[in-house]
Amino acid sequence: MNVLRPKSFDEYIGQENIKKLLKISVEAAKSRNEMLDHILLSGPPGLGKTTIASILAYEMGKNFKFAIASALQKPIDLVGLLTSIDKDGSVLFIDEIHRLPKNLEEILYVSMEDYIVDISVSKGIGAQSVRLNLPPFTLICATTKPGSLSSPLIDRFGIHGYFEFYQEEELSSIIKRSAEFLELEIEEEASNFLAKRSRFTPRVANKLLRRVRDYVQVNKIKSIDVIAAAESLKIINIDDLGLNDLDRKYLRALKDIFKGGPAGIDNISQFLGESAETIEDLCEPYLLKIDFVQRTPRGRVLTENAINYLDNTYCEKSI
Amino acid sequence: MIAYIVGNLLGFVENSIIVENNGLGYLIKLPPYLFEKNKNRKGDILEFYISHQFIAESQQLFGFESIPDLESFQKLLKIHGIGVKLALQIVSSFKTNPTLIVDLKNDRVNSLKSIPGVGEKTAKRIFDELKGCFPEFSDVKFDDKAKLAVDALVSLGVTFQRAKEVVIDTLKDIPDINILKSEDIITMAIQRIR
Repeated sequence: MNVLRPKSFDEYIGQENIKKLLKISVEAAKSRNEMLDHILLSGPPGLGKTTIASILAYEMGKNFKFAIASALQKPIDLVGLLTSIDKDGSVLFIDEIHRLPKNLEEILYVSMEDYIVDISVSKGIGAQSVRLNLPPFTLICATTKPGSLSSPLIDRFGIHGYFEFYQEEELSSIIKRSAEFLELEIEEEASNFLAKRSRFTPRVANKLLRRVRDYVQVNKIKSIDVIAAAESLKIINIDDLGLNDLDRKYLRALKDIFKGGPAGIDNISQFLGESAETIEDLCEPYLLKIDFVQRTPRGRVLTENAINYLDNTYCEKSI
Repeated sequence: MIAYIVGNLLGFVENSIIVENNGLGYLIKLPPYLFEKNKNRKGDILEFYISHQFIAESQQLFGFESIPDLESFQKLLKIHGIGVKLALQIVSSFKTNPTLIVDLKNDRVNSLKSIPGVGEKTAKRIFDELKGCFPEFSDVKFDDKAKLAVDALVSLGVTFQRAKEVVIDTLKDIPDINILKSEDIITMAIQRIR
């Protein structure tokens, strides 16, 4: 378990709208002595969807069960997860729900609505089926691509939380809190410096902080100041916008090879030797956010901002 | 006739072992599973029930864990078309795969063909002979509830073989199957698979 993960709503920084909504739901469910409604959390990676799910389990006082949809291939995998629910209910979390195979979605619908699983045993006329009754549970699903979910599935979630990118002040608070947990001293200026380069994402902020921690530990620096932070980011090639090597390669390729676009994601991913998913999940959300790239029906297009940036930074030619 | 040996495991020759007793070493052929089991037990004191066979010009000793296994082996040898090698293989398959017993109980001849070296004809011949052998598995009751559980697991995407094994294991742990519904058995079996 990641030590930096907040355990309750009070420790969780940011996403005020979602927190407000969920706090009310939890309060109400508890006073009615019911399970919480099913929840769908969507938003870019690294913003704290899994964390919110584990907090909900904690606030409800229920057991937390975790699964990744891509690991659920056969009906037995999903039914196994569903039948492992505690007698007094559990909070079940399925990450990357958009990767759930279609044949499992139906099992999920029925279990969400009526807390049952029907297994058809024989085929054809006179088909027999066995019904397994499940204890009540709350299903929380997270997705980075809410658009690729089927509408019957989306309809069955009572609560839908959209995660927003973080503000720099929030990230700075997160970095300070994490530093405390890692027993580091960090100056205000340095935490702001790191927050600015964290791509509006707490996961990235914590990752940068860990790298800085390594750097100061090796160099026996007592307290993290801007100089130490800047030095450590230089080592891992993170620039002032928080862009890394892959982002720069991506932008370079778009500019030099694809003449600024439009270029299809498959082409770009082939060229970079990275999977399309990696690029879509890791690079693009941020590049879209800072308006370096636009997604058009014909493909990705480089913007004015990106061209200015590339003209002013030196990085290796992609050819 | 030699029927039992207890002694020190001296070493291995191909797929046989040498067991020393009172300064004499005996070369004993074992079923594959038993050979594997004793592979790392050099120097240990082991006991075997022996089937002493005279084949053509030579004598051979075959070792087993228990008298019932020994009896099964002798029965197999009597079947037309089964020699010592295949008989050892069959004993080994039955000892390592209890579902074969259940198949015998449920008259599924075909699963015998999963044993290396057993074809259509041999399977049919073995079938009648073996029904009463390997008694340690005979107390597993495989009734309609259990059949339903196996079918349910199969429709959830578990292989037939695996489903059978899991259901048998589940039933072994249940003292009284009559108080349980098949739903309960299925749920328990699913948890076992996870």
